[in-house]
Amino acid sequence: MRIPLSWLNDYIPVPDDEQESVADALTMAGLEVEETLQTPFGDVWYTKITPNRGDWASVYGTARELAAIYPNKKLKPPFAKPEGVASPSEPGEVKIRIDDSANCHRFRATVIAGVKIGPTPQWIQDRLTAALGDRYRMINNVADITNYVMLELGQPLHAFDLDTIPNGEIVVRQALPGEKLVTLDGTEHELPLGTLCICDNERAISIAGIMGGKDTEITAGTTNVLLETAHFDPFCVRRTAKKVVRSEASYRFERYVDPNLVALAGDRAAQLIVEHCGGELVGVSEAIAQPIPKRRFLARLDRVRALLGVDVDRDAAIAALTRLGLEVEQSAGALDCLIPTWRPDLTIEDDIAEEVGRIALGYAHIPEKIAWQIGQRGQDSPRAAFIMRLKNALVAQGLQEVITHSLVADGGPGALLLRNPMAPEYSQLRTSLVPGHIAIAQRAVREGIRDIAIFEVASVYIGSPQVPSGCGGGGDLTEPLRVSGLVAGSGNPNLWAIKGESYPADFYFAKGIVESLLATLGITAEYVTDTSPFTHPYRTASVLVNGQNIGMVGECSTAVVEANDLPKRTCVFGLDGEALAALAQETKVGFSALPEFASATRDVAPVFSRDMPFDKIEQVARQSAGSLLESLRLADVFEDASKLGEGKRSLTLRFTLRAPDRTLTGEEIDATLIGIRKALTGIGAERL
Amino acid sequence: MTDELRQVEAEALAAIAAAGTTATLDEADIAYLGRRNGKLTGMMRQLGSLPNDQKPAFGQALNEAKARVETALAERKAQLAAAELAVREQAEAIDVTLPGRSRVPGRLHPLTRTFADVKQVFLGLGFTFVDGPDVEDYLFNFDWLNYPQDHPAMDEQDTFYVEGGAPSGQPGAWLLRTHSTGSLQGRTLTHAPEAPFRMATMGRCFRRDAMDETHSHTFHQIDGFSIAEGISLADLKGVLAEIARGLFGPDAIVRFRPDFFPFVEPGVEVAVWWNNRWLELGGAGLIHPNILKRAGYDTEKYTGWAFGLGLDRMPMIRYGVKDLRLFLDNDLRFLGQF
Repeated sequence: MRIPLSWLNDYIPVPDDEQESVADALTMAGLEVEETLQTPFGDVWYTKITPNRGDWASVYGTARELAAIYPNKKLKPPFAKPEGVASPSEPGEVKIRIDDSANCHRFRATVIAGVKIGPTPQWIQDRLTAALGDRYRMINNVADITNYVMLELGQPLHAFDLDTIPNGEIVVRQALPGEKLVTLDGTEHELPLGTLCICDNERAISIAGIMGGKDTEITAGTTNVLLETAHFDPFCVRRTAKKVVRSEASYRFERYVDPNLVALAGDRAAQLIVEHCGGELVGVSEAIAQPIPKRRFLARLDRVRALLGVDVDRDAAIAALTRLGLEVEQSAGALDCLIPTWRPDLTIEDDIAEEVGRIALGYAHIPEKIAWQIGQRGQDSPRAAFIMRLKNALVAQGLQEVITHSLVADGGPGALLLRNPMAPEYSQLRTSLVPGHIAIAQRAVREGIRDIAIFEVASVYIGSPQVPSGCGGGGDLTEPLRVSGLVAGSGNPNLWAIKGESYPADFYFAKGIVESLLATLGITAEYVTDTSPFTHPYRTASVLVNGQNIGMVGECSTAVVEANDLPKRTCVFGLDGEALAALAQETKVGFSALPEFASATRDVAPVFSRDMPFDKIEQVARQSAGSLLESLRLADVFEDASKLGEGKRSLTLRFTLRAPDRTLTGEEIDATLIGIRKALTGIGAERL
Repeated sequence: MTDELRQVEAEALAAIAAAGTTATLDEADIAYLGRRNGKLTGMMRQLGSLPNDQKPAFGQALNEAKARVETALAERKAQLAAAELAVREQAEAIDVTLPGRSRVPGRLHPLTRTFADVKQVFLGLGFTFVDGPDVEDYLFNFDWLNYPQDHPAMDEQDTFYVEGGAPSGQPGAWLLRTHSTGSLQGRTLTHAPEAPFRMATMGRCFRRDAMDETHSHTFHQIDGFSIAEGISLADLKGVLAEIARGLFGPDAIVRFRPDFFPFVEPGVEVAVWWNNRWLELGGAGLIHPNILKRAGYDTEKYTGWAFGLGLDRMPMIRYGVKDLRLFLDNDLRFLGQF
């Protein structure tokens, strides 16, 4: 709220030279002065009101808080009640009936007759502009005075043209089905069920606590004014305001307005109207549906001290609470607290601890203790630790980590949708990380980056909204972990080519990343030709572990490459992080003894038809090499139709043979190689 | 004879010095020291024909001359070998200014790096980490945290609701968590672990907040809470001060200011004095007794504290990034800088 300092000074002295220190003190007591605005009407504080302290939403409420902070600053009363103001017991001209006593606790109608509608006095205009900003348009003297009193005391008011209300009959009830009202701002509202309305004997004339109606507003021709001050249930006003319209009035009612202000603010407004608009106060009517609540409870000083962790002095605590408006009596080690009506937030003794802490002690004086020392380090969650393990393994492969938004424009088939999105770009929850990575690559290419190697380890969101969820939380929602990445351009751009040889970030490069990651986790997988929505129909493999599909690696389909201007042969991979977590082995412990005897390495280079898959060849080669085989790796793939013939390829297989107990003889090695060649020939190898 | 010896030696040394290649040096070697026709070798043979009284003196002179020639030969040989190696190596000269062929290093995202460092501080203080979902039930995000349904405090938690689940604004509704507090406290307290403990969670949160340089609908938070006997606001301040020193260095000062969150009483805003200004870290306070009671703790015996700190400011400060949006924008020119 904007608090003009000149206005505040009506109630509590804040000299210019103290302004900054007082603002700091207020901030440190919980009412943050976010900034001081310089305006033509003097300095204005911009205060940030916490949702529990509706009583701060006024100039007087702010002054009252300062008086609690500064024992030496004296708070002046809101205004001196002038002579001749009627007391509520006097019968007025207005008949009030409260039908919904749960939501309207009291309603007071003050009637002022013979007013002269005209421009608002300049000083009131200045204060309204200072407090509400340039956006506030002056209405007329009566309406502006109601706003003035609301800002001053915190009680919203409304002025009706009494002559528009038949027989001066007011009914406070809920809106009828289909009931409509045109509000002051000219908007016609169909009033939702549950809307509390101020009505004449037929129709709604105002939405309670929110905004008045157009038909009954003060106009240039108004002479008799019905001034409404009332107390409404905060939740009722909030529910309606959220559906219909929010206003300065609803803002305050939602946060609870001191019921004692009904009379006080009514009198204050009447006084100002009589003074500045002429006319005379002819009567006050008040309907009371509920008494003003009085809350009283015990707060044990020991408890207060234990919560704050400070041995706060009893007398200082009582003095502070008293300055805050509490009536405190001592009662055997406890403080018997009667809570002022403007503090609905004080309900338990822990609330008293807060008041003592911030006013008697000051939070700056709370010491730093550590009452309970934990002797051991905490533990990361197994899931978070596993995620870091995945990330580090992929970083070791030379990939850049990316972190993308969970909210996307198109989350894919079956994506969860937001009920209340802010913008279409962020209206669905992703079901895959891959589209985000394609978008990153597309943008990188646009910026002139051709060599891309990125990954992400993050959750996707899967749910089936059709199935009603139980109250137990989560329902049928899951957020499975995904490990995805994209590579394009050169597999290693820092390795400049020698003799024209370079390593493209192709399918085998992407597959190598997946293999290395799985190797880090101690997982062995098979790769089987497959298809996926984003990828090339003949350059895609699914990753199988014991027959379970745990992901895919593949080249982006021509359509995807062309639609996104990606480099040719851009590859993506995606793995199910949950499956990886289930399959992963702990980091290896223990070691194998180093071999005692020498090994022998020999190459065998069979020529096969290209249709013969490598995994078959490898399987036969391994089997035929038998127990002497230590390792087998593919050293080279050579295709040249002019040398090998159409559809053929030569594969150089590098065998390392070793026996644990002896150095192999030439005869043993040769015999093994013969066996290998024979077996390979058996599956179609040529030129062996 | 002696004169002849001197002359032969001089010739030999001159030939050795003149030899420009290993081949010519070998020729000189053979010409003077060769077993068959070497001139010095020949003079050795003539030694026997000298008169006996001249033998010792001449023999000695001859040996000395031979030794000098051999030394010169060896030295020259080494010189020539070195020179020839130098020539060979010169032919192998490379352009050392060509760039090295390194592997491109992979990198963690700056958020991951910063969050990992933050986590280390918490682990050192004995916090055990748990995880919660991003799509949360109203029950945990609000209800368990003592939010009355439809309270003005909700205005600060402008919430994205997800299709499915119960109607918005009541238990059973699906929402994107507005803080990680519910995932931590709400979910943990449903099974009320045995006190004392310290627990934390770290993760992504969402609010319907317009995007600008310092705001995003998606942000990150770390939440910690503890339940034990006799812990107080002073204890909370002590722990947060340790955390602040861990994150911002040994001179960091923590400030408490009263603030309001429905799940704590008293509630505070936590700020740290850093670079000559108060930097707001987040909210904290003593766990509201309503929550402890609902979880089944005896509030006369146990108290608890809780806090939630915004994480996104930390990488901004650490790397001097002014625009928060860059972190989830994934411009590779940005990410390549960390």
